[in-house]
Amino acid sequence: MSTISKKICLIGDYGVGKTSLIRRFVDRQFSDKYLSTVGVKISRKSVEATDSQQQKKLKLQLLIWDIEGSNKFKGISKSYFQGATGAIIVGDVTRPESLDNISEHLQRFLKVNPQGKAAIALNKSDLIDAEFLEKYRYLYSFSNNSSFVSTNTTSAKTGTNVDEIFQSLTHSMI
Amino acid sequence: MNSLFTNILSLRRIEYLIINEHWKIIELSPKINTLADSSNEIQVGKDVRIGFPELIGVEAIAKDIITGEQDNFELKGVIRTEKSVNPIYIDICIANNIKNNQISNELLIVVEDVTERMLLEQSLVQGANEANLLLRTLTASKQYIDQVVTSMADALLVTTPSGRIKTINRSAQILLEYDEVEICGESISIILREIENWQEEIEQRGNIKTPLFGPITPLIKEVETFCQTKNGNKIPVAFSCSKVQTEIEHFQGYVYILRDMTVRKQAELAKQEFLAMISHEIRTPVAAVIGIAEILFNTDLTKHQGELVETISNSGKALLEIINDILDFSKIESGKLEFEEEPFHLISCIEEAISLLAPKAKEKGLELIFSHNPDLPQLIIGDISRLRQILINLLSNAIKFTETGSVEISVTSRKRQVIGNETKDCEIQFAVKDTGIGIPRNRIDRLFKAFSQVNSSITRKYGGTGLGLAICKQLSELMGGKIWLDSELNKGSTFYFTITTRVIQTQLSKEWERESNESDVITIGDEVGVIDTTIAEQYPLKILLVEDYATNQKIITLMLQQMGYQADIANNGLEALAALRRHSYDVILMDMQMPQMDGMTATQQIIQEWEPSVRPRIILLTASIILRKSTSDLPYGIDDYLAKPFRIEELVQVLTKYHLNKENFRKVSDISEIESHNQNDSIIDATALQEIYRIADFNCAVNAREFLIETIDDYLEETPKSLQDIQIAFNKDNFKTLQRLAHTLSSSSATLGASKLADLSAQLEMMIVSEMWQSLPEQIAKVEAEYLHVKGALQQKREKY
Repeated sequence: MSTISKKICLIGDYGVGKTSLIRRFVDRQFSDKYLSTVGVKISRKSVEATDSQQQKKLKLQLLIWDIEGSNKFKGISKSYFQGATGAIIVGDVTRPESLDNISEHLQRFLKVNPQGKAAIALNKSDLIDAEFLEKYRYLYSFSNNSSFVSTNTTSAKTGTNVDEIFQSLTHSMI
Repeated sequence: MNSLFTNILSLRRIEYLIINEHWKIIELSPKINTLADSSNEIQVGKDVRIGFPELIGVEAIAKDIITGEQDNFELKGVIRTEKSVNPIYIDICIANNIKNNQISNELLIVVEDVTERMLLEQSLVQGANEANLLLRTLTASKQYIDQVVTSMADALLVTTPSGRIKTINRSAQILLEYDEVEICGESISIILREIENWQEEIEQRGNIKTPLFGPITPLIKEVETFCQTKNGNKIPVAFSCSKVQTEIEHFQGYVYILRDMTVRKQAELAKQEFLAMISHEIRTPVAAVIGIAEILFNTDLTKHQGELVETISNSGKALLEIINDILDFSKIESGKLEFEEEPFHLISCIEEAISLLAPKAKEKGLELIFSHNPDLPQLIIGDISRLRQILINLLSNAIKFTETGSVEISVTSRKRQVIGNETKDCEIQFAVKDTGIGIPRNRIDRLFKAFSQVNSSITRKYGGTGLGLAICKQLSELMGGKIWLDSELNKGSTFYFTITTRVIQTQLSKEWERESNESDVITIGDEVGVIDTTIAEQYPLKILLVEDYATNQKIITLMLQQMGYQADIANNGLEALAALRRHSYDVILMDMQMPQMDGMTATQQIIQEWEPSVRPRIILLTASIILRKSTSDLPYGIDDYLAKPFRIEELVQVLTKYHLNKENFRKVSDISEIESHNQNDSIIDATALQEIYRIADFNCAVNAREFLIETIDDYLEETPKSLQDIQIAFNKDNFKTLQRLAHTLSSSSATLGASKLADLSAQLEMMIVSEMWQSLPEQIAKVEAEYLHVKGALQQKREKY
């Protein structure tokens, strides 16, 4: 292949906004309507990244795996994580329990991909006062973990920090 | 592969691929490309991952499967979306392509179409997720509201539509001493006994629809009442109530909020008592100061002393004003102010306020202008003194803060929409405009607040408590209006206020017509004629109306108001005398028939007690036309009469005749006037005796004949004594006594129809007052002579009865 393909997974509880983040990043669109994802949907996006070491501009094809949210009927199949270079763990700031589950999702991912990189997206930031967002960012950072890339408060609705989080993850995967 | 086998698989929507360890396709099933991501790329020899990008990343696993370390690898539920077709879901399974029970380095990839199953799963998951999310939001919402309700300091009760209590919050439990369990299901009326009184109003206000939330009720104003606790205690509370209307029947009913007023009530009571006490304690000495100052003022004082006393008096009055302001303010604040609802003449009221302040304006050289539109209602219902109070306050301020220029009062009116049981169909707007110092924009909002003035230098320069405008605001609002202003520094200010009222111009005449079967009633024509409202200005008079019949009181008062007069009222002769002893009046409108003391008697008393120079002119209001038309035949002391029913024009005529400047009394020229009135040559006017008889006749307890004889006898007995006393007094130069005696003789003679004697005596009195000492002896002699004639004539008449 002429371009390098990198697989990244979006993981998190149901309804946190994984599909919306991808839609915003890939299609530049947003819809209020909630449609549960089942199984997995794979989207492709070409990005450019600069390799800081080799001072080269690289063309990457991101294979973004939109994985169904965890629910009570079944656990998430580990097979989906297979071969992923990176992951974005997504939580909903208006639902504290989804934030609490971030760490578990992270562990499960790293178990399959110990060398993988992970960024945390605290999504739906448009629904919360700015003063709380900082607090959450701080709370849900895993800086002592070598796989940890960054924690961002994102909003798929407004687009805040969406490109940033994909970019920072991509950059870390080079 | 066996084609039968392939066909069977294909029918079940299962396709396959066989690849080598380098991911190149070796074999494929016929319809595999329908399940691939891009159908063209599925060809023998091509990398399978082009058509099946989900295989990217499975490299490590694939190696393990080839080496036999792992059996298989599954990826379930991968969605394929292509723009023109509905999405399909596939399951992918990778296994070793075992041949002859031996693992090979080929991989078998089986791809199954699982769309149907996945779609079902999707609906299931969708429903479950949505329900969870909704439940979550609802729970959070409910928690939030519960918290709010629980932490409220006020007691909150929720009832069903039929008034059964459903919920109470913690504060309610504490206040009412009930547990939630105990009280649920009980009727709200065990807490609020009088709730039925308010049910109707709550219902009436029930139906304001808002676009978003459906119908809502604005909470009715806080109502003060009592609530009953479990232990039977009655606690004063302020409650407000609102109707809850939602679509779900379970969530309908009423919300009551109760606020404990005990502390507030106690504080209010204490404040009222304190104020009442203070006002009495302060008013008493202040009244004394004012009163004594007035007495002092009327004694012999030097000019300088007089000025000092005036200052004392003015300061006292100012102090009293301040106290009254404070009390007014406090009464209004605690809602205890009562408003009158009486008809009054609007323009008179305004003019009174103006005339009160005209001197001050004149002093400062300011012009006072009054303008109003011609269709301003004449008669309205309201509280004349409160309206006047506002006007006086605003005018006073305007004059106070204006150095040069003018103060203009303008009044306009407009009809207003009447809602429901309201009767106030008119809104009147007043504007007081001055060319004074103006008010800076940023101070305007402080203006109507109690105890604040524009700034402290104003207090120092202009005085005042800062209560006036606050009171004006309260009063105008209580009268259904509002108050506001425009102002520009150094240009001037215009204060506006409105009141709402009921116009009753035509209604009053209807009221009178209804009672016209009584002879004593005054009726007025169908139109209240156009009367010059400046009569009071042109002929300033202090008028006392002595009349006992309330309707007549009202009617005559209104007539006077139309002319611009404000009359005082006495209900009978006794009250009239009391009033006269307190104030001096220019004119008395005296009714004839009254309880306790009738008009005639009162007139006699007045004649006796006060000298002609200070005595008010008495105009008799008589129901009969027994008195002749010419004024010369009136009993002495009566200056004129009006026969009921009389028209307002007649009243105008009579009053303008008797306008009097208080300092003038009848001079010498009047004496000749009295003489020329003496047309009647007969010594005794028979009609006078008849009049006495008639008056006595009205009184059922008295035998008229006997009464008349008695009267004559009394006169015949007393008069010689009087004449003697006159002589003695003259000899002793006791002119005050002399005057009094002459006066008495004159009035008593007049009563008995001895008009000539009466006139002579009156002349005598006039001479004494005019200090015409030389003429006195001759006059006294004339009087004595005339008496002899009178005596004879009376004795003759006496025989006849």
